[in-house]
Amino acid sequence: MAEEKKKKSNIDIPPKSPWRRIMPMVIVFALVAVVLPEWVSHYWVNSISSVVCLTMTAATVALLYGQLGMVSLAQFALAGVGGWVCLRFLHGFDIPFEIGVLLGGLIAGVFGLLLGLPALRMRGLYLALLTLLVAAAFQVIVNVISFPDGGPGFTGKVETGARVLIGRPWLAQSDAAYFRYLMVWLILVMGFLEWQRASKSGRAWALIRKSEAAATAAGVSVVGYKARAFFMGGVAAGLAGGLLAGLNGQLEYSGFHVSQSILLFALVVVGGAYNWLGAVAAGLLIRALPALLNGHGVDGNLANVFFGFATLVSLIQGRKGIVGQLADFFKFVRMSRIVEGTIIWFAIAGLFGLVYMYLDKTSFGGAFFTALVALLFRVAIPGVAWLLLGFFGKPIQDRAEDVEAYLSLRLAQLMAKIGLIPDHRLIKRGLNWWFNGFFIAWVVWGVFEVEFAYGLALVWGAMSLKIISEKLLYPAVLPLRNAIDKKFPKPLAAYR
Amino acid sequence: MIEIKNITVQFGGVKPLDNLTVTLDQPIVGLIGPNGAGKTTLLNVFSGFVTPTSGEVAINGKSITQRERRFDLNLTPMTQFRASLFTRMKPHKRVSLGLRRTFQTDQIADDLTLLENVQAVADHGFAKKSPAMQEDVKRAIDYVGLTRRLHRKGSDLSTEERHLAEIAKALIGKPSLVMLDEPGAGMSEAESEHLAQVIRGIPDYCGAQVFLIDHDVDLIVACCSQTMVLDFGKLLAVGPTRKVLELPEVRKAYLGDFGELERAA
Ligand SMILES: Nc1ncnc2c1ncn2[C@@H]1O[C@H](COP(=O)(O)OP(=O)(O)OP(=O)(O)O)[C@@H](O)[C@H]1O
Ligand SMILES: [Mg+2]
Repeated sequence: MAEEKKKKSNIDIPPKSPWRRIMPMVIVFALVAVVLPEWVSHYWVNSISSVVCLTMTAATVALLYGQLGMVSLAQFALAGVGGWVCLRFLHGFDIPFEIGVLLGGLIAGVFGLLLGLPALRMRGLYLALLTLLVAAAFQVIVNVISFPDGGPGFTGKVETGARVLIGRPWLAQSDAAYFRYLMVWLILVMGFLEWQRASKSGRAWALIRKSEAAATAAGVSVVGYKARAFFMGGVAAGLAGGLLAGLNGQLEYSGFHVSQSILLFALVVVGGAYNWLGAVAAGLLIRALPALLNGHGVDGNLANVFFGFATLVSLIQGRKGIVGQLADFFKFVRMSRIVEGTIIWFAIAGLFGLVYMYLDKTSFGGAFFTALVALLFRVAIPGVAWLLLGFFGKPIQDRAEDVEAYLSLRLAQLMAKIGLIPDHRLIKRGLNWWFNGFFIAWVVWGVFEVEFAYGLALVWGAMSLKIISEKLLYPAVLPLRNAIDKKFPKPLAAYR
Repeated sequence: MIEIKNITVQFGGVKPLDNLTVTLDQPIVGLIGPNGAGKTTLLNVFSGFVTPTSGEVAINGKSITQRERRFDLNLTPMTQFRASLFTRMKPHKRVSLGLRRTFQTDQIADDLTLLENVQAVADHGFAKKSPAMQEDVKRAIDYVGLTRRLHRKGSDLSTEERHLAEIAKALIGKPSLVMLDEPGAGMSEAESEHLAQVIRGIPDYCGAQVFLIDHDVDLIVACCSQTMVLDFGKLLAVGPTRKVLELPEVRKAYLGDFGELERAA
């Protein structure tokens, strides 16, 4: 009987088919492609377009690092190769934009493979150094010959006179249209990479990761599968480079500095190399964060300070990255809470969207999205304020914790004295409210053009509404909660 | 049938295998010997991870160590192609010869499910994704008795289950020689019994010869009709298991070890 029960345990649910595994990603990307250009300001459409290209490049870093543990610092240079080839062909021949991009991808893929050849016998630090040298070599070369801009000869460089820009595809002339066009590419490329991860190649990579000898004994060609990853990574990076060239009609050699390659790798580690969202996080960090700072009149290079800090934190915390940690958090939540939360979150966000649209403070989507982020921060990243304190050193963080604990205790005692229910987390919560409010309001001020005060009201409003609705709606949602709990009694981790 | 002729392996000053000659023809063959005797090294010669300094190994009549002339005008192109496949084969291609092995430390990927772990082997043992492949994977897992763990992640399997999963991986496709390197390590008595049953059934299951390395003499006795004993790279004895184990020099070299261990315990 016990055995019978064990057999039906929910842990043993078959894995999803590759198609089912990439569905969430495709849906999210498709939604973003449709709605995002409507919500954000014009300045941001181009910024998020370059985020898309960087996400695609980051996905190749994540592929090599997450699947095979290989550190390639040359992926950004490969994007440069793809961009160069794409520009050269588009200036030289009267071919459609897509053909140029594909040629760039293909040739970058070949370069990736060439880079991979020595890499097949190397790993760890040596591989990182080798790829770093390649990235540096690319920087030197492109510094000398520069990117083609309509001139004659092999280098296609205009010596005197005006630079020529390449045209965008006829379907995607406007900025918003080009963003959507990029999203289609992103879905195709990352969909393909995800598919590979979920099928035969992914299994072979997993065996190689475990042990090369065992993979060999299982009939896996270790060299072949490593080379395959390098080729696929090269092609995807090359495509991203071509698409980036199409965004502005040209490329600047200053954009392909070695430091960018290193930064990209670090940010993939920060974002998380084992999940497609990690690549998105890396793309957002490397492009959107500096743009955000610049938008507020702060030097965008300040972002590098944050990046260094974030890399340190994610290395200390188990190398799963931001996305990995979020995923871990949700693993231990029950299905009923997710369903409930989703309904309430969307209701609150929708409400604020309508109100702010009606007041004409921002677009529906802007307010909707801001409210969602505020709610997400509330549950998933409660300790941001403390995390940031850690920036000033562990002793200060510890001291602050002590002070907070002392004050909280005193406050709780006071509350008990005057007849309130004591709450020992009041100060911590207050700090997080303060931090979340100012941080998110500051971000949306730039992105969605919400005035700061209204942004603050939005964040705090959404957070308070959540608490109120929890208390008010509790009797109403209880039957629903129980019904779902009956069907899915375990935390999400049990269901994969 | 495994034919080993004058195999010598030398790593610098160490000679893990020293001019070894033996023919093993029983369906389940055991290999015992004290630590460092060269057992794993012999397996590595079979699977191609170690190139012997000299000598030759043939499995079911096909040499896997000898380098043949690739371009022999007397041969048809097809035979040449086959010859090039079967001699000095790259290790991962030996799978198509039917050579399967497990490792002393199990090699189950933690982040794949049991099914995916076994599937990963099948991916390379068959030409295409076919229903037969799915069938074969399920059958192998069922054979070792792990069907109830089909969709469990590698990290959630017990030591015993991981060893059994390793064996399932070695049974995919059409194996002709299944080599098991200490599958019984760290198992309880009851688990060992199940393991012995699984190993004994392999020749009937897929027609493969089994080559079993283990320190657990009871497991060897329970499974193998023929046993060879290695000591410092030299063949100490070979023959029917019971007879070999009764030889005084074997008891001295190998079981003596155990006697000491028992006394220490
Ligand atoms: N790649 C290598 N390079 C150098 N020496 C090696 C190598 N592989 C094995 N040896 C040596 O060869 C000898 C035999 O090793 P082997 O692993 O074959 O022993 P074993 O019989 O499998 O022992 P155990 O019972 O501990 O598994 C040992 O002395 C070992 O140190
Ligand atoms: Mg050994």
